[in-house]
Amino acid sequence: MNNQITTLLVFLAIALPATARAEDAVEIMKRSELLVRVPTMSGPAKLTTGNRGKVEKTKVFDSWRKLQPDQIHFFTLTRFTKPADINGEAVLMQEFKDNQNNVFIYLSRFKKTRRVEGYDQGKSFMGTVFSYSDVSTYHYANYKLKYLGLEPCGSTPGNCHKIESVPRTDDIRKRTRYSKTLNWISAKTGLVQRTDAYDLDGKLLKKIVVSKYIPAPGGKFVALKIRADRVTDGDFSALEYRDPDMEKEIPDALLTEEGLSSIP
Amino acid sequence: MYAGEDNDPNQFAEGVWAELEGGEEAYKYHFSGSLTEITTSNIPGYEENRFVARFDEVYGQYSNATTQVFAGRKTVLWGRSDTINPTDYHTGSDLSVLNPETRLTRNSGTGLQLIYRPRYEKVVCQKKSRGRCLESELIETNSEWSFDMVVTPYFAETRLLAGYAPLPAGIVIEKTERPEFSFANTEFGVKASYTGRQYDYSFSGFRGFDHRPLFFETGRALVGSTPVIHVTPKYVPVTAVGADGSVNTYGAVFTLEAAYFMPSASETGTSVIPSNHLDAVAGVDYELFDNFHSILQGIFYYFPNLVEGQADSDPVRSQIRQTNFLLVRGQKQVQFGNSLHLIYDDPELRHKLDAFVVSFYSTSDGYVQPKYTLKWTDEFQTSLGLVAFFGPANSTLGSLRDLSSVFFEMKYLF
Repeated sequence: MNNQITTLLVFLAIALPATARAEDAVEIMKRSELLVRVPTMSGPAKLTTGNRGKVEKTKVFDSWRKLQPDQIHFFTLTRFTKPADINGEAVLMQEFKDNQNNVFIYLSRFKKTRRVEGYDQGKSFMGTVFSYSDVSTYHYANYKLKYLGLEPCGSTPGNCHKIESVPRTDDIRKRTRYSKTLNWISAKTGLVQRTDAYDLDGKLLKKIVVSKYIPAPGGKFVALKIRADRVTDGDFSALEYRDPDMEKEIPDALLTEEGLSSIP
Repeated sequence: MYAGEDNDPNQFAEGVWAELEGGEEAYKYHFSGSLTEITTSNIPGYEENRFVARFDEVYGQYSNATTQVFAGRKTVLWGRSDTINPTDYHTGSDLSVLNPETRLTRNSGTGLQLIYRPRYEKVVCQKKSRGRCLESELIETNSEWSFDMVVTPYFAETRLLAGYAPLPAGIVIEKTERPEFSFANTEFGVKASYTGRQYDYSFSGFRGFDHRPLFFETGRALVGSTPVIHVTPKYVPVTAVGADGSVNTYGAVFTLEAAYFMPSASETGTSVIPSNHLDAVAGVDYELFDNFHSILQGIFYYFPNLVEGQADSDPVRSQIRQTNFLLVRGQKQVQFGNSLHLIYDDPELRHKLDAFVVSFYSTSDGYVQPKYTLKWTDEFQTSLGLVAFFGPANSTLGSLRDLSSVFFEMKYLF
């Protein structure tokens, strides 16, 4: 009997901290997600792509992003202005529960709106290293989270919580085309500093680093500069928002199919 | 642009195209247009040299939370299908421009478009615990339904290929006759659309004109001992109902679009104008791999009242009838076809390949249109392409075989 109690005590002594860490991971990721859940954001942005540090192409666009009444999902309209051959082209992404997303593309040259496949979020976003899942909202509840420890953030000063996110279902795995991600969350700010994404074979595919956040109303933050590097071929893409407006009301009508083809 | 031997048909076009838009708050404006010089050689019926000043779109826009109003010349293109849109009631094309660049060929109508999307109030749970809602809020949100109304006093015309009128010798084709500007000749189109999660559908109705002119005999005379027959292209009044939709499932987007056209009975009664017909297109859009996707479509035309092989007792009227029926693909009661569109667009490599092929089984005609574009810089790009028609000479697209062309295009965009 005494032996059994000893075993139980030893087990509790080992298991309790581990459980606490798992809960920490959930709390850390949940807090991180809430910190960047800015109700509205609009403004110009620049998307550069290149290879091994050499910039090859720059796209300029305006974007409007609005949190939906469920307080979880976003509708986002992206309208390109440069280069000239894609001027007026626009992408409307309406996120819904269980990834039943609507993605529409407006082809300004043809004056036509086309529905595009919205389920596979692993596809490249407008020919960049970013995928649709990289630019859409992260939901911690979709992942099994594991706390891996505290370590230096790397590119930014201070320490970061290192957390592993593994898709909860095979469906999410296939949809995002990631087998797992490793996330570095600043211990000081609670914001994601870096994400390493692994492909379905478990190999490191890309590194995404947020180099600048700015404060938003309500104690929230907006990622201003994000860079993604694909380690397999050296391609990179950098997304930079310029003076985003987090207070201007975005009319719901803009985030509809008719809004996609009209002058914003 | 055409290139070939001295006697081969060729066309050269150069021009500038501009776009401008702006405005404040609820009021916006848009202008896009072009000035093009088109030089044509060795194509019967074409002017040798012409300047085309096109106002592609010139309109003002007003928008509020529920309504958008557009006034002016605007492209209104309905339908979910690729390239072939049965519910495209509102646009027209200038088919005398041989470059398939849409900006040079598309014609738009002038009128008013009103889009209304209602809003409604719904209760949204803001705080949940163990599946129970602890805190809810009444919010106003967009409806999934939207209603689109288009009123067009001045509709978009389709200019036919000059050489594309297999009429017998001795026939003089007069200038195309537009219906006079009046309320009775104003076009009306309505559409109700529903956008769900991963699917959408719409129903539409239209009362106006078929934007492809058809031929009518407008006079006969004897010049010496030779009979001369005058025919005038005119626009046939038509009423149409249609539906379209798309759904995203199994990693692909499936589309369906159909419209049933009912030309005015007073015109169809003349026997030279085809009667009611159903046009339908069903397709699947699938991305084969990154940057490369394919759209495969089935095409269906059905003329319920058509009696195949029927001809007019008058040989001239019979020829006019044959021409008109050819223009609207009314040679057979039922026609099946298919189209395949392959698009490879790699923004990093700056290459774009766009190949479209359409073919009809019952008439064995069709066309192939591949186009390769190289983007040298963000501003400068060149394209090399081909438009090749095939099929028997008495088929809709086969009759255009002589106008098959190779084209080269240079664009500087800034």
